[in-house]
Amino acid sequence: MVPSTSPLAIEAVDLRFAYPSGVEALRGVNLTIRAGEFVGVIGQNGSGKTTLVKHFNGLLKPTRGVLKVLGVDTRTQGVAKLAKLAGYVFQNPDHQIFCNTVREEIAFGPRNTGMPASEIESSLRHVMELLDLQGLEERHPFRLSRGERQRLAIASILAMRPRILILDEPTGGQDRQQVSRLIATLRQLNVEGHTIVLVTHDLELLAECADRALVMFQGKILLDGTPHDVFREVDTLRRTALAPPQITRWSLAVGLPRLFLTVAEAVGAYHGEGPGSGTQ
Amino acid sequence: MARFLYTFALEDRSWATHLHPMTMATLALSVAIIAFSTLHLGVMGATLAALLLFMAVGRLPTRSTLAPLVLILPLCFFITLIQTLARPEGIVASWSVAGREITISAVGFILGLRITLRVVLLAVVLTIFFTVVHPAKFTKALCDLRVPFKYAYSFTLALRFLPLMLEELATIKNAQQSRGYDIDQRNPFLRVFRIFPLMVPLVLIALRRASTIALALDLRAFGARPDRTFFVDVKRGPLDLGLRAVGLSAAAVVLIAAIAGWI
Amino acid sequence: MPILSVRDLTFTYPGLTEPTLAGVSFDVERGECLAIFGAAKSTLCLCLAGAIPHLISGRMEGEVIVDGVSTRAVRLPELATKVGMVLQDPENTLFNLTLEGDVVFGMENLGTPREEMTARLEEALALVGLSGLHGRMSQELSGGQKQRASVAAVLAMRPSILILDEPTRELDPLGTEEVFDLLASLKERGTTIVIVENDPDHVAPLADRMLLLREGRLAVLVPPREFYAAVRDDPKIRFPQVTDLYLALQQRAGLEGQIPITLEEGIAILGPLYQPARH
Repeated sequence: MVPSTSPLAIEAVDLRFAYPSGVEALRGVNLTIRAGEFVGVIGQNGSGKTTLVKHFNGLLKPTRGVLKVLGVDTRTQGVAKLAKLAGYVFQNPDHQIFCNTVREEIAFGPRNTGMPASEIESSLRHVMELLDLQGLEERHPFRLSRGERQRLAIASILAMRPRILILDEPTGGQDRQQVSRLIATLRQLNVEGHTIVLVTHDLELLAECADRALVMFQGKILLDGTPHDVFREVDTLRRTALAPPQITRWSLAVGLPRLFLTVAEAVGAYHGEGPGSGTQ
Repeated sequence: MARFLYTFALEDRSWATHLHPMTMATLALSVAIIAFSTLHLGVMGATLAALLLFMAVGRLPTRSTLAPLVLILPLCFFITLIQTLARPEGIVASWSVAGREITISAVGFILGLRITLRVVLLAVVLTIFFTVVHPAKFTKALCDLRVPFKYAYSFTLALRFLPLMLEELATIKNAQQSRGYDIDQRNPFLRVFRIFPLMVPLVLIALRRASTIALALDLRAFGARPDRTFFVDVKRGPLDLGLRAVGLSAAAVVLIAAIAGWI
Repeated sequence: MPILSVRDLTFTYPGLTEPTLAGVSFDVERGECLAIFGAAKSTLCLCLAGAIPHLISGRMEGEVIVDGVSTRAVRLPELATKVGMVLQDPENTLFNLTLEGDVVFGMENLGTPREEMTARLEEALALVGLSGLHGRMSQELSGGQKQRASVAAVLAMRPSILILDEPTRELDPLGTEEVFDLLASLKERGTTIVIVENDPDHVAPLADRMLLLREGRLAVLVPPREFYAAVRDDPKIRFPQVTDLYLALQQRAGLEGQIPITLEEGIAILGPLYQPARH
C-alpha cells in the first residue's frame, strides 16, 4: 500500500468518452492512482476498461472531463510525447514487432523519445536482464517463441523508462510457469517504484499481484478497493457476471472470517492437524 | 465501412433488394459508361436524378447510402482546385507569388465541378450497389455465369476482412505511437522508414490471418466438389429485364451521342 | 468400438529433426470428453481433425481412425461429416457476412440440398442458443456469440466428434461461461468432445479424462482427479484452486479421500479443515 502522500500518477476528473459513432464508453469516471500503486482493472468486454486505460497514455483524449498523467493534462500532449511518462503494452506483441533484431526492436522506443545513445545501451541491458532475454540481442524477433515475443514487447516499452506501465491482458495463452515469471517481474518493477496498471480477465492473476482492484461496468467504476474488499461484494460482482477466484468463493462459502485471495494464503493459514481443528 | 453495406433488415423495407444482383451490376456499368462518355451537365445531372429517384422509390435509407460521399469530398475539392489553377484559358484573375504566377480560371473551375459530378455519380451508384446487393447472392449470380466459386467468393472474403485489416492497422498505429513513434515525423532521416513500423506488422498479421482462414475454409470442406449448392437463390423477374434494358439503352445512346459529337 | 482411435501417431514438421508427436496411442469412447495438455496439443488436434496430413506438410506416421475411417484414407471433405474443429479466434472462422451464411457454408460446400440446409440451420442455431439471429452480421455479435456461431457452423455438418482448440482464449468471462454451458449441453446430447483449454475451473468438471503430452509422448491419460495428482509437480499446468489447496495440504493434514475438482467438492472436503469442530 502506498502512503497517501505519494504523488499522483493518474488523475481522472469526471472523465467522459464517446466514440465518433456516438457510443458512450466512459460515463463519468473519477479516479486517483498514486505513484507506486499496482492496480488491476477488470470488467467484461464493453465495460469500458480498455477505453479507460487508453486514456492513461493519451491514446484517447477525454470528450469531457480531465485526465492527468503525472500532472500533465493529456489533451495538451501527443501520444508520442506521453510515451515517456506512461508505457502501454498491447495484448498482441505482433502488433508492434517489426525490426530485424531484438536489440533494434527494444531500442526503437527510446530512440523515438530522444534518449541519448549511451543511456539507451544501459537501458537495453537492464530490461533484457529483467525480462530474461539475455543472449537474444541479435536474434530475429520472428524466430522467438510467443512467450519470448511477449516479453520482448514489454521490454521495448520498459526501455523508455516510463514511470507508469500499463499492460493489456499480458498473459494470453501462457502456461502457469510463464505467468508466475511475469508476476514476479511485475512485482519487482512495482517494488522499484513503477506504477502498474494491469487490465485482465483473470481474477486469479489480479489477486496474486494487485493491491487495488477497479471493476468497470457500463462505462463507470463499479467497485474500487483492495482485492479483498472488492471480491467480498459477490452480489455486485454478479451484476457484471464476474466471479472472484475459486479460492475466494470457497472462503466465502465455508464462512471464513478472512477471505483468501490466493492458494498460498490458504495454505499459510492452515494450522490444524486434521479435520475438526479450528484455525484463523 | 460496415454501415454502408447490405443488411438483412433492408429486405423488409426495400423491393430493390429482391432484384437480381446482375441487374444492379448492369445499372452500375451503365452509369459508369455514361459518366465516362461525357461531361455534359444535363446528361450527368439527369443520371444523378435518376439514381436519386431510384433511391427514393426503392426506399433506400438516404443517410447511410449517401454518407460515403463524405469520403470523396477531399478528392472532389482537389480536382476542382487543380483544374481552377491549371487551366490556361478563361482566366479571370492572376497574381505573382514568389516569382511564380498563380491564375484562377473560370473555365477550369467549371471543369472541376463537372469532373466532381462524374466522381459523385460513380460513388453514388457504387454505394447503391453495395447497399442493395446481398454478397452471397452476388456470389451465386457470378457462379451462375460460370465464374468458378473460389473467385466469386473472394468478393465476400474481401468485404468481410477488409474492415478487420483496417482495424488491425489502427491498433498497430496505436501500438507504435505508444512507443513514441510520431506519424508526422519531421526528421528527414526517419521519414523514409516511417512506413515500416506500420507495414511490417500489418503484412505479417495479414499473412497469419490468411493462413488460419485457409485452414478454417478447408476444415469446412471448401472446394470439396464442383457441384456445390447454394442456400440463397436468385431469380430474374420482368422488372430486372426492364431495368437492364433501360440502363443499357441509356448508356448506348449517350455513348453514341458522345462519339458522334452531339453532346 | 471407440469413436476415435490413435495408433502410434508420430508427426514431424518439415525442417525439424525431432518429431513433435512421437508414438502416441489412445482411444476415445463415444460421448466422452477428453482434455489435452502439453506443448504438442494443437498439433495433436490438427491430426485428429485430419488437417494433418491433408493440409499441413510434414511427415506423419501411424494412424488416426475416426468413426471407423482412417484420416489418411479419405479426403478431408469426407472427414468433415465425422469430425469438426473449432479454432481459437472466431474472427477467422466467420468468413461470411451474416451468421446464416456461416452456418450453411459447410453444408453448401458438401452439396447439401436446400431444404435440408434450412432444417439443419435451425437445428444448429437452436443447439448453440442463437435461434432467430440468422440475419445478424457477424461483426455485430459479441465474442461469446461469435464462438458459439463457430460451433454452430461446425455442428451443421453433423460431425460426431467436436474438437476445440482453446475456444475461450479470446473471450471475456461471460463469453467463456456461454461456451462451456454450450459444451455441457452438447455433451449431454452425446457429442464426443476433444478440448484444449487452460481454464481449469471449467475444464475439470467437463472432462472425463485428461491427457498430457510430454516431449511429444503420451505421459498421462486418466480421469481429472488422478490427473491432477499425477501432474502435481508439473509447473506448467494450471489447477483448480481447490485442487491446488488439497494437494498442498495432503500430507500435512493426512488427507486420503477423493481429490476435489469443483468448488462444491472443495467446500465439502476442505471446509472442515478450516472450521472449528462442531459438537
